[in-house]
Amino acid sequence: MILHLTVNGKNVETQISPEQTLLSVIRGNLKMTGTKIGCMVGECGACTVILNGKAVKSCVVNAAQCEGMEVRTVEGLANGEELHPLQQAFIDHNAVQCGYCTSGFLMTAVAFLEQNPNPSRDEIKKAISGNLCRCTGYIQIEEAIEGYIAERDKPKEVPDNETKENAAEETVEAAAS
Amino acid sequence: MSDFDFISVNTIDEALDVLARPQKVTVLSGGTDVMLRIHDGRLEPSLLLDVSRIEELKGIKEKDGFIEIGAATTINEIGASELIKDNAYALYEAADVFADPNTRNRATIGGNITNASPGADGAPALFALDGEVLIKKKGGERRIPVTDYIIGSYKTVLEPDELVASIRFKPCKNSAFIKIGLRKAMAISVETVAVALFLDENKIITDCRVAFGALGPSTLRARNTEKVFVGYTPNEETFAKAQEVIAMDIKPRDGLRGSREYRFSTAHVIMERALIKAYEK
Ligand SMILES: Cc1cc2nc3c(=O)[nH]c(=O)nc-3n(C[C@H](O)[C@H](O)[C@H](O)COP(=O)(O)OP(=O)(O)OC[C@H]3O[C@@H](n4cnc5c(N)ncnc54)[C@H](O)[C@@H]3O)c2cc1C
Ligand code: FES
Ligand code: FES
Repeated sequence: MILHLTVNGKNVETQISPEQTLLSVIRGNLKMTGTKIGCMVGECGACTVILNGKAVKSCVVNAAQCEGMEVRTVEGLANGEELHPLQQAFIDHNAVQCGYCTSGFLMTAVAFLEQNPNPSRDEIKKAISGNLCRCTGYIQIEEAIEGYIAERDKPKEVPDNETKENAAEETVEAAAS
Repeated sequence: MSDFDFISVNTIDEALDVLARPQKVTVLSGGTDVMLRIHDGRLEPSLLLDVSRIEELKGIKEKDGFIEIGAATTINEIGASELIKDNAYALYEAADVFADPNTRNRATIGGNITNASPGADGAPALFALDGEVLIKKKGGERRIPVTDYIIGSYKTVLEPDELVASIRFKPCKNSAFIKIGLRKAMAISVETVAVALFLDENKIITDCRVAFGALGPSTLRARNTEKVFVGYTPNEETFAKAQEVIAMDIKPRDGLRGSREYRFSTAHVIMERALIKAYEK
């Protein structure tokens, strides 16, 4: 059967069989290997992707059920060479060691922050409770997510070489948009 | 290529037509049980019937004095529902500790009771709430208590041509759920208990229902124990009496997840805690 998906904003079409998991379509059919294979039984979260806005473990999602849906994977986070600020925060806060779990944590966190932009530490802990990391001990990952939020909410600094007038104009534009 | 087929339908009637076919049809909802069973070889379907697009199977509503939950409603939808929080707190609490948030985006309540694992987290709350399962097939339907629906370890009375449409129960203002697991997230339950109470204006218990999960081959109602509390309040005397009769209701087995003795003593303790929690809500 033919499966149609939107993957990171691009329409794709691929031949699948009915028992295939979404994970095997992403890695096997689409050759996108940023999404990882861990336990294959829904326990570790390495395979987490965002399906129609919700984080799911793609190793237990039937691919055929996703017909016409929108999938986001770790490959869709960066903007060209520029990392997504959450990816940067993971690096800055040493939340990546071997990195095997990282794409799963990133996708869980991105979907979670879209629904709850200002979570407490406890809410963050709960949100990532389905993702396992054997290396970092989770604290750095929680700090990275909090660090990203702090960075996101920081008032934008005006570079010194800009005149006050320019800055004022920018503020007006920002308020209008 | 596999040698089985896949079909997705948008209405209950279409699903019932497919189920009426002579071949073996496997209903696929969130897939969190079915996909695992296909991949480890325990399940060899010939036709997968996707019910996840049937809108009639989704959502939570108040109807005829009951709260009704569509079979394909996800655990996260249940956990986010004010109607459930206000009228079935035990189920709300079960949804909150069920697996992990991402699994809960897929897992459905109909799949949970139909998979009927001894540790199914949705089942004890529905047992305590006296839930009723609406089962449909082409040209007919039946409504049965959930306690008659699950009849053993991974066993239900669902026939091959039947579909679970919804589960309903009467609103209950005093209910609670407690789970003791090996670790917080994704713990397949060691033991769970759900309690539903109805009180009169003097806060005397007029109806009491206690259900245990993960204690034996399947979820069970502690019918002798719960009678102890009717006409009384939860207090030292009623708890002492309950401790005497609880052995009539539960027969915990040794298992990887706890010895018989451990399970027996914790069962009584978590029941007390859940009763007080429900009573004081
Ligand atoms: C990582 C992980 C952790 C888990 N943790 C927990 C946990 O903490 N607690 C817990 O209780 N469970 C847990 N489970 C088990 C599972 O998620 C639940 O049982 C879930 O509710 C099943 O729902 P589903 O929609 O995914 O079912 P599916 O896999 O789609 O179906 C399960 C069964 O029900 C049948 N079925 C589904 N819907 C219908 C219907 N409408 N009519 C007739 N038959 C139907 C299917 O044919 C199948 O036999 C876990 C699973 C995984 C993978
Ligand atoms: S590979 Fe999917 S959860 Fe582990
Ligand atoms: S960084 Fe190695 S598993 Fe998380």
